[in-house]
Amino acid sequence: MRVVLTGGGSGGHVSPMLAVAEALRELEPTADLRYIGVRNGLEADLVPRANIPIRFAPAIGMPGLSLSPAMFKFLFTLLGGVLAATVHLIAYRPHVIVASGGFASAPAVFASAFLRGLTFGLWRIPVYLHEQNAVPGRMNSAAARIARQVGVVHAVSLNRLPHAVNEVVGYPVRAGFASVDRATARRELGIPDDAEYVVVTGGSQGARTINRAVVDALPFLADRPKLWLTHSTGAMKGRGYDAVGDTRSRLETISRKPQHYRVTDYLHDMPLHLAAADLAVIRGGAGSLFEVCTQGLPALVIPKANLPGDSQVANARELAARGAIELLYEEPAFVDSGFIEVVPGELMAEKITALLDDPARRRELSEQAKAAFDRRAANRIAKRVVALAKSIRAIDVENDSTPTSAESLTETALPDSPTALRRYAEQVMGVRYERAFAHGPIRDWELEKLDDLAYFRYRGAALLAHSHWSMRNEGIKLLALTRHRDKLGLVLHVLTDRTPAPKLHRMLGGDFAQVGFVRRNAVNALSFMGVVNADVRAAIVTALDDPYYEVRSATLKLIRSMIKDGHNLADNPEIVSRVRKLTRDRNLEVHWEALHAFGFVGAPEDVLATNRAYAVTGKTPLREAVLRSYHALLDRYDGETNKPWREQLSDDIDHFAITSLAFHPHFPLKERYVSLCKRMDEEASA
Amino acid sequence: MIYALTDFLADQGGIFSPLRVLNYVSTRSIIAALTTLLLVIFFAPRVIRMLYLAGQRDSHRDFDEHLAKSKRGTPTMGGVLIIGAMMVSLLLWGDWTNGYMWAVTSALLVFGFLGAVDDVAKVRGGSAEAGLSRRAKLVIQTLYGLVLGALLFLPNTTPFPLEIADTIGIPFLKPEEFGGLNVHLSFFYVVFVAFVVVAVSNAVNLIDGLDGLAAGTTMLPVAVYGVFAYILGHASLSGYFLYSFQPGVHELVVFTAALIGALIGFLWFNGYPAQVFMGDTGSLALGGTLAVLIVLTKQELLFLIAGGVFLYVNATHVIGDRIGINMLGRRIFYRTPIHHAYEHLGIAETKVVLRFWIISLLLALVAVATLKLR
Repeated sequence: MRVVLTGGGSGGHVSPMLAVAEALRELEPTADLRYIGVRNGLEADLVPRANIPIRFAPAIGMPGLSLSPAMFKFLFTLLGGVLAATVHLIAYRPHVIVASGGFASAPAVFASAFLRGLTFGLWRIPVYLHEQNAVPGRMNSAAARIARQVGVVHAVSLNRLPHAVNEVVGYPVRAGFASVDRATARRELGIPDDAEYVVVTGGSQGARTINRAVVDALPFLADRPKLWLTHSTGAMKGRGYDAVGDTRSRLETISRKPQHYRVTDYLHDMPLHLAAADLAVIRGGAGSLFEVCTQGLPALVIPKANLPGDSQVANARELAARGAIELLYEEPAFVDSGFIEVVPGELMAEKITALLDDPARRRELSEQAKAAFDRRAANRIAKRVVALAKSIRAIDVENDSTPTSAESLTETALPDSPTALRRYAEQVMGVRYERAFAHGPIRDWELEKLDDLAYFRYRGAALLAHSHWSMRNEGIKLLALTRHRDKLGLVLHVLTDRTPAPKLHRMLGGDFAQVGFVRRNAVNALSFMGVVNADVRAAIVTALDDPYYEVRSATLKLIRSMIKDGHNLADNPEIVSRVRKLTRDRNLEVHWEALHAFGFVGAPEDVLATNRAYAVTGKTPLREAVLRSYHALLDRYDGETNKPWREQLSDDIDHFAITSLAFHPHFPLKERYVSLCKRMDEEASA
Repeated sequence: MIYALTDFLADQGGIFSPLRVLNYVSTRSIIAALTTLLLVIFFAPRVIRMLYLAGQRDSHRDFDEHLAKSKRGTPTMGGVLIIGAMMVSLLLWGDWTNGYMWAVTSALLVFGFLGAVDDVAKVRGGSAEAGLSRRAKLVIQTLYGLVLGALLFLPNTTPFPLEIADTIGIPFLKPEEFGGLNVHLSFFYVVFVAFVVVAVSNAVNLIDGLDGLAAGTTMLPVAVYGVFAYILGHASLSGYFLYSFQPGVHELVVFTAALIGALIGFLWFNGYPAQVFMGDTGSLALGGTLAVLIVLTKQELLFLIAGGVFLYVNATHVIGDRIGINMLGRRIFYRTPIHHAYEHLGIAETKVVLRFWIISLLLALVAVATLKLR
């Protein structure tokens, strides 16, 4: 039996394949294995060491979906890769292909489809695909269409894959992986038995959030003499972050750190360190999660935000729901260069300390982590692969699948896309975002309808650091709908940020990097949050000067709704003078909103003087706004009939033109129908 | 059918000779228009009831809520009325040996069918997004345009005189035979036809947002192209107005007359407050036929004048939507399609529609005036 294994690029995709290879050899000692990977991937190093011949086919990761030079490069590389893989497949004639996903597996998978097309379906090499992430990437979704069978790790990914034969098989782990026991490992590393050993790593590339958070946490951990901390920064350099250099310069700024703190750019004997550790602080990628969890090592997981489909967060939430890991979200903060994700050092230290001080909790995490992944996954996959190779229908294989506790979780899956998530929240809460000013602050009983409030809040905050405005827009909406008052500062910052937009956008009529819609929705958010403090007042003043008309008109609406809720804004001369200025705005929408709002904040004499000019204007909406402001005025001075401006008002009203361009449709038939329905409902319920 | 019958009988002479009057384009046009008008008015109440009972009702669209809400549940897909009445009238009064007739009727049916599929899908799916995807519509429209273009271009199938088959008409410019210039596009003509078909059919589709707007504003350019078809198909008139004579194109006058009759009949029910919407069935069919009328009378660039309203609505939509909303993240106009901006500014729907009609009429008059301005 000849089997091609493929997948790689990073360790997370290679090691499961090696585990499957091990299991295959055990199952079918005569199996002939071969690997197809990329030359500069981790597989080029690991695979030959596992005694499997490797062939190379070029591949790179897929850029965004837009037409760009990177896209052309990707397409050409893919074409070359598919051709190379096709040659390998023809030369080797495998019975089956096992793919672990990721871009490195694309050439071989697509080549099998290519060969099938080339031979008019006569030669079909079945593909078995293993999907490790809770949210399949684009490449794996495409590969899943080609694959004969797909095995997944997370039950939630079953509904995200377009295929009939999908099942939960678990994450394959190599048998020899955890063979080092804790005592041996500690002896080899020179760590005393009673030490609290913590390993911090953001993966081979490194993670800015984790590196910075752990350095910031050091002063708070300095008073734990038994703490041994190894920090692997990763080797990333570029895209605005240099892992080693940044960490070194940050280390110089802190005053105190634990005695046994060690920093390195890469841990070559990672399995040994993990075997010796009491706690690991890691990212939420499939690879590192399972590396740590299968060892039963308690982990504090900080998933990377804003990945496509939020896949790391989905992985981590899935495990946290089983009680297998401790989850800590990174959230954006504003630094001088813009929004970046951070975890405060103090919070990090607190979490680490809490876990170290609570052995019971650690034991529980350890047990749940082990239970979440049983070690039979590799064997299970190998059986299916053999079945495919022998062209037995995969379903006929004895039913040993379904690791326990997986099914029940499918129900709890929330939508992946931010827009769908926000719509879901709106639906559950019965709130429409557009109706922010009519709705006012979100009430407690509305918030209670959201099950996983912490996740909605995290997602909203994380999206603020997204590079595309429409995602930041959804972030603002999520923060507002969840009334996340802790992040009020971020919302105000978005509203008042004056970083200019790219030049092309400005030439076409754009203004700031936080585009008009985002700023307008930030104003709506203030209505949902229902906080009126000095910062909010200052932001309102800025927003009234905003160059985009919808921001100004929304702010005027906000002022009205806040005053209706009982906040006093009329005492703020800056706001009043700006509203008065906007009653002469050139934009009609702002103009009428300002006339209306001025009735809420202006002195009666001023309001009358302003309104008089519009008594006979041809623009009906302005006249309507004037009437509304009179109403507001009468509401404010309810019962004070002896004021001199009252006479003036009745005089003004006498000279008011009431011709109209507009009318609102009136459907008596529909109204009767609705009242009939209501009556029937009432009688039925009574 | 009646055309073929009277044609045959009149040729027998004797007592049947007076039937010849039914063979004139002018007579048949008027009768065809009356036929569609009466058919639509007579059958509309039943069809509307049928559509309503079949659940073919307009789903809520996502602009100015209070307006859209009160119109929810209005039966849509009223375009079937227009298409049905047209087909009956044309089968009775049309000359089906004429190639122009086949070309324009094919557009009515193909685009009507495309729109109907879209309408049904929208209702089944329960939202405006559930219809055919933009791309699917575009592909079908382009395919139709390319096939039509090829048929008009190839010497064996074209109904045009061969020497002008691949030319386009430019207002204010005389053709070669009268000392002017013929603009030959050669095989690019095929692509050009596809472009006109896609652009015009989508333009009408977009303007269909207020009661009576699409029906009214399309009627006037259709009438303009009817006038042109009459002149171009008339041996002496075309010479008098310095246009290349296109034998047979006058048959389109019957078509345009029938279409105008059907649209007037439709407006009877579609006027504010509408009892029925034409839906994509109507707007795509209208757009498709208008596009083909434009191509067949070789007055492509004249549409920039005659269809100025469409140009305005579409240009603002592209700027406001593609550049403004998608790229810059802000509104450039209050709302797009632009007729909703006027509603936003507090002008009643009926008034917006009336004003669009007036502007459309104005532009139609200018377009007809170009006949002599050369």
